[in-house]
This record gives sequence, C-alpha cells and structure tokens, in this order.
Amino acid sequence: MNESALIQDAQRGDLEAFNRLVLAYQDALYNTALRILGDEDQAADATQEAFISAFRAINSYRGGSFKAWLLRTVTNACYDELRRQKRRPSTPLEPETEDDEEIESPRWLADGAMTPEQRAETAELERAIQECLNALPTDFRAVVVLADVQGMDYAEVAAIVRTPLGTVKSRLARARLRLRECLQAFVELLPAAFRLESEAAL
Amino acid sequence: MTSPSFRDVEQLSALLDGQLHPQEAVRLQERLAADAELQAIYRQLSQSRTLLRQMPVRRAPRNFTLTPQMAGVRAPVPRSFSFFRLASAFASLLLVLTFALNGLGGLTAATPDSAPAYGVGGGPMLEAPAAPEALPQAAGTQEALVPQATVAASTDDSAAPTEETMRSMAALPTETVEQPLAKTTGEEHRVAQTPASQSWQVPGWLQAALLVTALLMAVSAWFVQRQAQADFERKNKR
Repeated sequence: MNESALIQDAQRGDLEAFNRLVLAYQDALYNTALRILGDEDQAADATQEAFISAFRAINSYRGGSFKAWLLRTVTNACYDELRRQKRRPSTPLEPETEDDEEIESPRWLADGAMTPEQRAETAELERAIQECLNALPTDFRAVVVLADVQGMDYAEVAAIVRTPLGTVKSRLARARLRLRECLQAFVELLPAAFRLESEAAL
Repeated sequence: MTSPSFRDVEQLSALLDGQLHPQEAVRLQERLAADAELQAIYRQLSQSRTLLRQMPVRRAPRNFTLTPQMAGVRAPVPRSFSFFRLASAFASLLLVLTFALNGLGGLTAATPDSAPAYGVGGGPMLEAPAAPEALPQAAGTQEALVPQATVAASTDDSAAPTEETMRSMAALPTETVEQPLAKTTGEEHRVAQTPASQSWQVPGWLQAALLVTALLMAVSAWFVQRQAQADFERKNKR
C-alpha cells in the first residue's frame, strides 16, 4: 500500500482511496477508542465518527505520521463521547447470566488459539485492566492508551492530545503508578512474575 | 539517600520509554543501581507498561469504510448539466418576460385618460374595470353643461327632481350637449385605441416554444445529473 499516494488521492476527494486507508487503520483506531471509552458499541461509534471527520478534514493533513493524525481524530471523538456521557449519563446494558455474571464477549470466546481456561483468564485480566483504565481521569487515560497501548512516542502523544511534552510525561508516570496500585486488587489475575513481585512487596 | 520525589517517578517513566536525555539517563541509572526504592518504583512502572502492551488487540467489529452518503460526497456535476440548467432558466425567464410584456400592453390600453370614451361614446370596452371609472366622468361632463341654477336646485332635492328642473333639462339644446361630447369621445376613443393597436403582443407560438424549451432543458438537466449520480454510485460500490 502506497500510503502517500492514497492520501493524495483522498485529498482530491477519492473515497475509494480513503477507504483503503480506513481498512489499514481501523483496528488501531477501534482499539484506542475501546480502551479510552471502555465500551465496544461506543468505541465503534467513535471510530466511525473519527473516520468521517478525518475524510472531511483530510486536506488539513500536512504530512507526518498519518496514524498519529488519525489517532488524534479518534481521541477527539472519544472526548466528545465522554462529554456527552457526562451530560446524559446512562447505564450500559450488559448481557448477564442467571448468576449476575457478565457473559463473555463472543468474539473473545471465538479465539481458537487458546484453551477455554486460558481464554477465561486472559479475558478476566483484560477486564481488570480496563476497569483500572476506566478509573483514571480521562486525560491520563488517553495519554496512557496512546503511549502504552498504541506505542506512540511522547512527541506524538503530545501532538495528538495537544498538550505540552512535559505534561504528557507527568500524566503518563502518574497513570502508570495508579494503574499498578489499582491492579493490586486483581493480584490473582496477574501473570506469575507480577504476582510474585506483588506478594514480595506485601 | 533521599526518598524519591514525583520528579524521580517522571524521570523513571521516561527512562523506561527511552525518552530521557542521555546525560540524565546516565545519572538516573547510577542512582537506580544504588537505590532500592527507586528500583521498586521502576519495576511498578515497567509492570504497568508491560500489562498494557500485552492487552489483546481487538479486531474492529466491522469495516468502517465510508459510503458517499456518510462522507457527504456527491456525484461530480457534468458540464452539460450546468448548460441545460442555465438554458432552462433562461428560457423560463424569457417566458415570464413575454407574459409580463403582454400584460403591460393591455394595461396601457386601459389608462384613465381614455376611460370616458368607453363609458359614454359607446366605444368598445376593452377592460371591465375601466367602465365604472368612466361613468362618473361622463356624468361630470354632462353636469358641466347644465346651468348653475339648475344644478343648485337639483342638489337641494336630488332624490325627487322638480318639474321645473325637468323642464329646464328638456329645454336644453341637446345638440350642445351631445355634439361636443360625441366629438370629445370620438377623439378620445381614437387616442385610446391608438396605443392598443400599435403595441406589439408576443405571439402565442413564441411563448409556447419558450415553454417547451424550458421544459426540455430542465428534463435534460435532470436526466444528465441522474445519470452522473448512477455512474458515481456504481463506481463506489465496486
């Protein structure tokens, strides 16, 4: 895929070219939205919104990392969604079993590379991490997701969240510490190496 | 050895990401080697980072590709569309102008100056509204010829004219009343008729042709645009 050529075509209004870029980056954008919002449906909506905004504003793209540019649009879409939630809070309707336990995501269960036990453990850990992420302030969450989940460097994160580099550094350090503290509550879910470390600290 | 400050935590976090200035990194690593508390913080930060990086990458639940409707993209407008649209608008405008021109011509023929001619002289009444206006004026002409005394008497008892009044009316030479009136109305009638007969009316066939042209151009514009939209949608479906 010649990204630059596709971007140029998209800037001339070629929707087909833009859609090829969508297919290349949709997982990254969806995962970012999912980790910031913590809800699959909202993440899908935010991702779609982000791509629509990106197409409409593609002429404002002036080079640099296209992924970072797209991640900025999805982060903005997530902020919008979180602001909307604040104005109109709602309780998500999670499908539950008779024992009031949430039903596992069918997508997750469909992964054939793991044993059912492993799948369950990984799902539990993922849920625990997501819970801890949700407990972070929005600004911290966005920074930690961009840096640690998406692997962006500090300068890219600073550009995406439009915050000074020093603030990004500070928020990331605080977010990592808070996450570590939060995860202590789920020590039984942590991998063995982490568990031993935690137990030694107690 | 001092207890680590938040600045130390920030530096450790940046060291973990390789985002620290080389000189600062060397200094911090020296402190790290000697400080167990710093080592513990470093490990905690590292574990958080590792856990986040190990989070499974979810596949997008569906494709987020955009449709032309979502993107607000419209089919490119063909050049012929602009031509047909402009031609249709121009023909419509001309058509309206012809109607306006014909209408104005009719109005010129019915100006108030020529009105008495239709009411009194028995000339052709081109327009109905002219008649009521013409009548009082014609009556006024007749009244002007009646002697002042008679007029005064008739105004005193207008509902039932006296015999005297009737007699004086009958005694009036009818020629003096009707002749000038007939003369006047004849002239005015000619004056009134002249502009009407000279004004140019747009022929009906021209109006019909303009109407047909406007409609044809509008239909062509619609067809060309529809065709372009269909081609555009077909292209985007592929």
